[in-house]
Amino acid sequence: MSQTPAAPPQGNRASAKKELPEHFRGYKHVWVFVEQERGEVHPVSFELLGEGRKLADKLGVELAGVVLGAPDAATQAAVAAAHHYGADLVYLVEHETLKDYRNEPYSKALTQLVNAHKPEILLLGATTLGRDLAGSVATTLLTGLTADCTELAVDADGSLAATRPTFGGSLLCTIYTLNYRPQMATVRPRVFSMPPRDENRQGRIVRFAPDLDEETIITKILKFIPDRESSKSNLAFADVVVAGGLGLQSAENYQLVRNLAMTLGAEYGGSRPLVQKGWITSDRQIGQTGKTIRPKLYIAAGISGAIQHRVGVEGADMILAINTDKNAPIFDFAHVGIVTDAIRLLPALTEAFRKRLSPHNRDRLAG
Amino acid sequence: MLQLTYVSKIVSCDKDARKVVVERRAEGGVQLLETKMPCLITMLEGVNEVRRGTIDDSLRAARAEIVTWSAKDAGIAELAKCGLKGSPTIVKKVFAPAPRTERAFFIEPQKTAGDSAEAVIGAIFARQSSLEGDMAKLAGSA
Amino acid sequence: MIEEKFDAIVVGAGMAGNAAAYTLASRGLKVLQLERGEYPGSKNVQGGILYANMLEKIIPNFREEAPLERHLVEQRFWMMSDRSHTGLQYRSDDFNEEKPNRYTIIRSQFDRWFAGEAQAKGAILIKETTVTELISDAYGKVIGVTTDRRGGTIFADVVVIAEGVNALLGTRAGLRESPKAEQVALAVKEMHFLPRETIDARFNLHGDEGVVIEAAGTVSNGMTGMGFVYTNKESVSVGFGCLVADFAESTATPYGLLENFKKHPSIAPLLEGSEVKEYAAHLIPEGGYKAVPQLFGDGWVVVGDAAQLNNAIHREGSNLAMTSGRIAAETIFQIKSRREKMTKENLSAYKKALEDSFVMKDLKKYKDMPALLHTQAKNYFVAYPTLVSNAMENFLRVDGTPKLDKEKATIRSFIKERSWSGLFGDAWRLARAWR
Repeated sequence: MSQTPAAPPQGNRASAKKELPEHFRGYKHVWVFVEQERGEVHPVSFELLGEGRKLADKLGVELAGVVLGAPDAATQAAVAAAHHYGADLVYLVEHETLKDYRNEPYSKALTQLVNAHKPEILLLGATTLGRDLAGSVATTLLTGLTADCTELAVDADGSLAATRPTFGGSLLCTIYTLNYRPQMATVRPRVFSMPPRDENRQGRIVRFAPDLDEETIITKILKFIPDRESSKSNLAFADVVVAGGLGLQSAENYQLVRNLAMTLGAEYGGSRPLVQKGWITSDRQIGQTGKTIRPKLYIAAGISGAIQHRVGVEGADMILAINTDKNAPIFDFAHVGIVTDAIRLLPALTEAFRKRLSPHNRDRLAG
Repeated sequence: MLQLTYVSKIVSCDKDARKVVVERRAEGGVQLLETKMPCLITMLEGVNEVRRGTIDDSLRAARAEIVTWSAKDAGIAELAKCGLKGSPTIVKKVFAPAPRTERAFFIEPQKTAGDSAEAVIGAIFARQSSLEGDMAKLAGSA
Repeated sequence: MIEEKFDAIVVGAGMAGNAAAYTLASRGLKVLQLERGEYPGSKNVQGGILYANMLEKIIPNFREEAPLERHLVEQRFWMMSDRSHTGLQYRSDDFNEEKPNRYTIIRSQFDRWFAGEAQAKGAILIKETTVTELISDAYGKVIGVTTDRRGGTIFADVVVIAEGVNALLGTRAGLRESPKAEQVALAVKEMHFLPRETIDARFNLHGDEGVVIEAAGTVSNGMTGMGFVYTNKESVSVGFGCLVADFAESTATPYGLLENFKKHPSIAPLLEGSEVKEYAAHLIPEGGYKAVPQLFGDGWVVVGDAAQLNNAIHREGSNLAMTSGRIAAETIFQIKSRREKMTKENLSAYKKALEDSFVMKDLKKYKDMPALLHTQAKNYFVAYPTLVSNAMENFLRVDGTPKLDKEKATIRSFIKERSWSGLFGDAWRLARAWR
C-alpha cells in the first residue's frame, strides 16, 4: 500500500483551479468553534485550537475562538480557556437563547457572525453538537464542509486541504472547498493532540450581538436526562488501553481483555464487529466510527487492523499487536508485534505485568 | 428547515398540532426536545427493529402509485446547483495511506506463554523507557 | 384478515406462475401473485433455454421487449470419456429465421420481465413473501393461503400452486408426497464472462447466434448426470447436474463434478480467460411421467416444476411449465365464465387439457427413461462412452494395423464389456423406453 493516487476522481473536477470570486477575497483568519455545554468546554475545541494555530501561522493570519452561550460564568470561563490554548482573539456571542444547545439559535448566531466577520477557515469538533451545527451552518452559508477529517493542511495557494477516510474507510481522500468561503471542516476528538495550556496567555474579545428572539425559536428543550456515570468509559483520555477483536472468537474470551485492563488500571475496548455481536457496548468501540484514542500504550489482541480501526489508534505512542496471522494489516502500523494466539497470551501478559508492576518493583523503580 | 439529529427515540408525533417530541443523544445525556413540522430528523442506527410488513401493508404497497417528480415539478430552477456539479467541495486526491517506514518489531513466540509475555514486556519497555514508570503508577492506583 | 377476495392466487413467479398470472389477468380476473424471492427470478436457475413457440402462445410479440441472449443455431451432443468426446452436431442456417425457435436466457432478468408483463395486465405481485399454508374450509376445499407475513388468510376462489421443485407447500398440505431422491437432480452452474468477440470466435458465431453443448459420460463417475455449455451474449453458462439419489450414495459433490467437467480437455479451452461472476445451484425434477403428482383438487391446481412437468431427456422444463400455467389459467377462466365453482370436478379439465397437449404426451413417451438411466447408469455413463471413445480412436489413429484387424478388435471390446445379450438388451431397453 503506497501513496499512489487513483485516477483523478470526478473527472475534470479534480483538476479545478482556485478562482476565488471577488466577494470572498476579503475572508481572512482561522476560526475554531469552542463547544461548551453545561459548564464544560469539550476538549476537542482545545485540540482544534492547537491545530488551528499551525494553520493560522502558516497563512500568516490570526486564530480566533468562537464562543456561543448564555451570559454566565461558564461562558466567561470558555473565553478565557480559548485564550489559554492559543486563540489571539475570541468572538463572543452571548444570548439567553444560547443557554443550552439547539440547532436553530446556534445556527442563526454562528451564521450571522460569519457573515459579519468573514473567516476563511471555520473548524468545529465532530461531536454530536459540532456535526449538527456544522451541517446546518454550511448549508445556510452555501459553502463546503468536510466532515470527520483526520488531517488538515494548507497549500501554497492558501487553500485548506482536508483529508478524511472514504470508500467505507478503506482509502483516504483530500478535499478542498476551493471557491467558497468559509472553508469548513469538522475533526473528531483525539485526532489532534492536546496543545499546551498557557494560563497567562491573554487575548482580545470581540462581542457580537446576534439577532435572536426566543419567541421565534420553534424547538424547545423539555428536559435533559444525564447519563449514569458508572458505566461510562474514558477511552478518549486513557493512558493505557487494551482492546480485543474477532480473533478472540467468543464473548467469554473477551473477559481476558477486561482482566488485563483491570490489572493495568487501563481502559478496555474493541473493534466494531464486537459491538455488532454484542460483546461490548458501543461506547467502547475503537475506530473510525467509534472512539479515537491516543494512549501511551495500546494493546490490540486478535484485531486484524483494517484501516477503519487504524485511524482510531494511530496516535498511540506504543502499539502492541497480538494476532495469529502474520500478514494481518495491524502489523503494518504496530510498534511491537507477536504472531501468537491472544487467547493464550493475554492471561500470561496479565500475570507478567502484575508481577512487573507490583509494589515491590514500583518502589525499586521509584528509588 | 428545522433539523433534529442523533435522534434515538420519537416520543410523540401530533399530526393535528404538527408537533414532534423526540429524545436526542447529546454529550453526557439525552435531550428531550419538542419542535414543529416540517422538520428533518436523522435517527441513530440500532434504535429500532425493522418490521416485516403485514400482508395488508404488502398489498397496499404493491398497489401504491408512486408519484414521480421531475426537476421542474420539484421546483428546482438550476440543475447545476444540484448533486456533484453543485457541490462546493472538490475531491482532489484519493489514496491509500502510506505504510510506516518500518513494520512492527516481531517477538518470536517462546515455548511457554509466560516466556512470550516476558519477552513482549521487555521489548515494549526497552523502546519506551518512561512507560514502565507510568504504568506502575497507573496499576498501583487501580 | 384481508377483506377482499381474489379470483385466483398464484404461488410463485417463475415460468409457470408468470404464465398463469399473465393469462388470468389478461382475461380480466383479479389475480394476486406471491413470490418468496426478493424479485421474480432471484430464486430461479436455468441453463437456460427459452422455447419461443410456447411463449408465443402467451405473449405473441415477446421478442420486442423480452430480455433474450442469443438465438440458437447449433446444438452439440457429446459423449465424453476422460480425455475425449464423441459428438453429434447439428447446425443450420434455417435457425436464423425471422422468429427464431430457441434462445438462451438469463432467468433473473427474464423472469423479472415476464412477471412485469403479468403486472402490466393487472396482476398484483407481492415479493419476499412465502406462502406457508393452504387454508381449507370445513369440507376440505382450498379457500385461500396464509403467508409468513402477519395478517391472516388471503382468500381466493382457486390457488394455482407454481411453487417449484421443492414442493414444500403441497407436501405440507398433504396434496402429495415430497419428491424422492431419485426423482430430482441437483445441478450447479457458473456464469463465465468473456468478451462478445471471444465467444463469437470460439464458437464460430455471428451477430446474436448461439450454441448449446450437452454432454455426458465418464465425467460423472458412473452417476446419472449431464453437463451443459450455453452461450449468452457476453457470458457462457456452464453447469453440471446429477441425480440426488446418486450423490447420496457417492462421495462426489456437485461442485466437484462441475470442476471436473470444466477441466475436461474439450471444455477447458472454451472457458479460457473467463471471469466467473456467478454461482448457482438448483434442483431439477427428473421423475418424469411416473412422478407427476395429483394435479388438481377442490380449489387448487398445481403447475410447472411443482408438478414434476419436466422432460429431462430433452431438457425441456420451462416450456412445459409455462404451458401448464397457461392451460391451468384458461381452465380456470372457462369455469369462471360459466359462473361455476372451482370444484375438483371442474378443475379436472386442466389435467384433461394437459394430456391432450404435448406436455403429457411427451412425458408419457419417456416415462420409462428415468428408471432406465438410473439403473443402467454405469453402462450409459461409463461403459459406452469409454467403448465408443476407444472405437473412435481406433478408427482414426493410423498406425499400420490392417483395418479389418482394427474392426475386429473394436467389436471384441464391445462384446467383452457387455456381451452379446447385454448389447442387444441395452438396445432393446433403450428403444422401448424411447418410444
